[in-house]
Amino acid sequence: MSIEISGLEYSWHEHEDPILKIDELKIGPNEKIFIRGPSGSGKTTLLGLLGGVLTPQKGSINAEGTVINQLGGSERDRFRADHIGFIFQMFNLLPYLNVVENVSLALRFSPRKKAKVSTHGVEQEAKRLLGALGLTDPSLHRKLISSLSVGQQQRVAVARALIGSPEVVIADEPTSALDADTRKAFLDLLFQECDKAGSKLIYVSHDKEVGEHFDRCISIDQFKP
Amino acid sequence: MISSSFYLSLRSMRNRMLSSSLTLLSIALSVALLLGVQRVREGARESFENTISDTDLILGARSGPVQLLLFSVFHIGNATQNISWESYQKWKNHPEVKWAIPISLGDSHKGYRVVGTDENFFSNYKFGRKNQLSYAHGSQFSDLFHVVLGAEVADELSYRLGDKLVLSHGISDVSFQDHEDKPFTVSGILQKTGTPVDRSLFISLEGLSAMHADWESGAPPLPGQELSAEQVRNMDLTPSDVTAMLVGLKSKMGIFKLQRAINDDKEEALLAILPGVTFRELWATLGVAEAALLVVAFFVVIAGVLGMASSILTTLNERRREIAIIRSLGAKPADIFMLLLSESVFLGFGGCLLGIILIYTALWFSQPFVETYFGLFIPIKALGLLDLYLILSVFLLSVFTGIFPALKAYRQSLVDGLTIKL
Ligand SMILES: Nc1ncnc2c1ncn2[C@@H]1O[C@H](COP(=O)(O)OP(=O)(O)O)[C@@H](O)[C@H]1O
Ligand SMILES: [Mg+2]
Repeated sequence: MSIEISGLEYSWHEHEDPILKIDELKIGPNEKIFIRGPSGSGKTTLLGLLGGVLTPQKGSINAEGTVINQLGGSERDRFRADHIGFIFQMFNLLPYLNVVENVSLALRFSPRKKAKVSTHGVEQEAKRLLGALGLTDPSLHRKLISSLSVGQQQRVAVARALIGSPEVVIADEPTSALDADTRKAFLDLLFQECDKAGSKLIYVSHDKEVGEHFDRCISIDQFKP
Repeated sequence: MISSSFYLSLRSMRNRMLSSSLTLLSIALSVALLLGVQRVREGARESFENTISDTDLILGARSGPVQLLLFSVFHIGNATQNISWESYQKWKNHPEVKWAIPISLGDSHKGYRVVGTDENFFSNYKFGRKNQLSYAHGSQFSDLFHVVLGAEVADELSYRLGDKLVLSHGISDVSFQDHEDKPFTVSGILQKTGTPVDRSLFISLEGLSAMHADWESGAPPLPGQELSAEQVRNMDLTPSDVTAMLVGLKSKMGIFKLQRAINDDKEEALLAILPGVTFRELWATLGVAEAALLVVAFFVVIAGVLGMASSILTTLNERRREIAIIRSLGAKPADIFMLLLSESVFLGFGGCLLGIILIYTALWFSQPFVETYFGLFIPIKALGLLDLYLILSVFLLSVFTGIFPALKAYRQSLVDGLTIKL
C-alpha cells in the first residue's frame, strides 16, 4: 500500500497557524522511512494524521485510493484497525492483560486482521510472533506486563503491531527507552519481521543515529510552515 | 465493538479489585438497605392490619376513634369512661348482633395488661386471616380465679399451667397495689399470634369484679374491711360496666345502620367504629415515618452511586494512556465511551444482585430474632413489583451516573489523539 500526502495543513486549534504543512510526500509499498525531528516538532501529530486519529484542515492523505481524511469517524477508526499497527515510545501495553492477551488485542478491533490469522489460530499466531521476536519462553506468555523488562515490553508491542500483517507499521520513538546494544538488536528484529509480514514501516525519532539503518531518511523540518 | 469494551472493562476492574469491590459493596449495601426497609414496611403494615379481623364494630364510651382502637385492640392507654352494663347488654342482644366480646381494662401484671372478658373472646376473636385463638396448653377459665396467658407473657415470665400469680391494680409498672389476697391460677396458655393478645392476660369479668369487690371507688379496702377470696365467691359479681366491646354482625349489610344507631344512642354517649377504617387512619399517620425511612434509604443509594462515579472519574486521568493505546488499535471514541460506561453497568448490576443476596441472607438469619425481640414477623417472599421497580431504578441510576465519566473519557480521547501525556 502506498501513501500519498498532498497539500496538507494541520493545526491543533482552529485559527492558529498550522504546525505541519506538507506539500507532497509519497511513501511507497514496503518502504522503510525514517522521519527525524526534535521533541515537540510534531512527529506524533503526523502519525496521528496518518492513522486517522486526527484530520487535517487542508489537503489529503491518500492510501492506495482511499482518502483517509474524507472518511467518516468510525470508518477512519476501522481503517486504522485493519491496516495499521502502532508502536509507541513506552508503556505500549495494557497492565491488566497478560503478554498473549496484549498481542491478540489488536485483532479484537479488526475482523480483517483476525481473518488473516484464523488459519493458525489467534493464540498460536501471537506465540509464533513472540517467539520470532525472541520471547520464546512459554512461561513468559502468561506473565503480566509489569514483570517484563522494558526491552521485552517493546518486543511485545512489536508483536502486537505486526499481528494480522497490517500494510503499515507506525513506530513512534520505540527505542528511546532502550540502551544502544538492545536498540540495534531491536531494530534488526523489527526490520526482519516487517519484511516477513510485508508491512511498510514509518518510523519517527529525534535520534539521528537510528536513521542510519533506514533506506530513506527525511527531516520533519521540511514540513514546518 | 461492544464485546471488546465489556472484555476490557471487566479485566481492568479485576485489576483494580480492591477499589472495584468496595464500590460494588457500597452499592450492594444500599440496595440491601432499600429492600430491607421495604420488607420492614410491609411486615409492619401486614402485622398491623392483621391485628384483628372479623370484628365489624368496636364500641366504647364516646372518645376519639383512634384512642378507642388503641385501647380496645392494642391495649395501649386507657379509656376515660366506660360503657354501662345496661348498654352492654342492650347492644349485645340487638337482633343484628351475632356475637359481642366484652373488654375490661385497668389491671396489669408485671407490665402486661390484664383483660377482663368472657368465653366469647375465645370463640369469636379472630386475627390475621381469620385465625382463631388456640391453646398451647390448658384451656379457658372454668373458675372465678383462673387466668389465661398470652404466649409472650407465659414465655417471658416462665409461667406454666397451675402457677399462681398476683395481679396488680392500675397499669403503671411502679406504685401499683397488688391484689395479693386473691391470686389467680393459670388455666391456659394461648398459642403465639403475633398480636397484642400475646402480651396480655385474660380473666373473666366476674374474676375482675371479685378482685375489686372490697374496693371502694378505686381505693383499696380499709384495714378490717377486706373480703377473702372465699367470701367473695358468694357475692353477686355482675360487673357494673365494661371498657369496650367488639361486635360481630349477622349480616355485613347492617353495619352502617347499626353504627349510626349506636352513635345516636340517647341513653348513653357511645362511639362505634369500623376497625378497618380507623386502622387505615392510624396507619396514614405512621406512614409518614415509614415513607421517610424509604427516602433516607434512597439517599443512601444516591450516595453509593455518586461514590461509584467519583471513583471512576479519579481513575480516568491515570487511564489516559491506556485509552490512547486502545484508540491506536482501532477503537472508536464510542468504544471508549462504552468501556467506561460498562464499568457502571457492571457495578450497578452486580451491586443490585449482591444487594438482593445480602438482604435475603440477612432476613433469613435475623427473622427469628426480629420476631422474638421486636414482635415483627418479616415474611421471606419473592420480590414484589415495587421491589423490582426500586432495584431497576438503582440500576438505571448507576448507569445514568456512569454516563458522566464515560462522556469525559469520550471527549478526552478525542482531544488527546495519540499524544499520550505521561
Ligand atoms: N493533544 C494535543 N492538544 C493540543 N496540542 C497538542 C496535543 N498534542 C501535541 N500538541 C502540540 O503539538 C506540538 C507537537 O507535539 P507532538 O506531535 O507530540 O511532538 P513530538 O511527537 O515531535 O514530540 C507540540 O507543540 C504540542 O504541544
Ligand atoms: Mg512524540
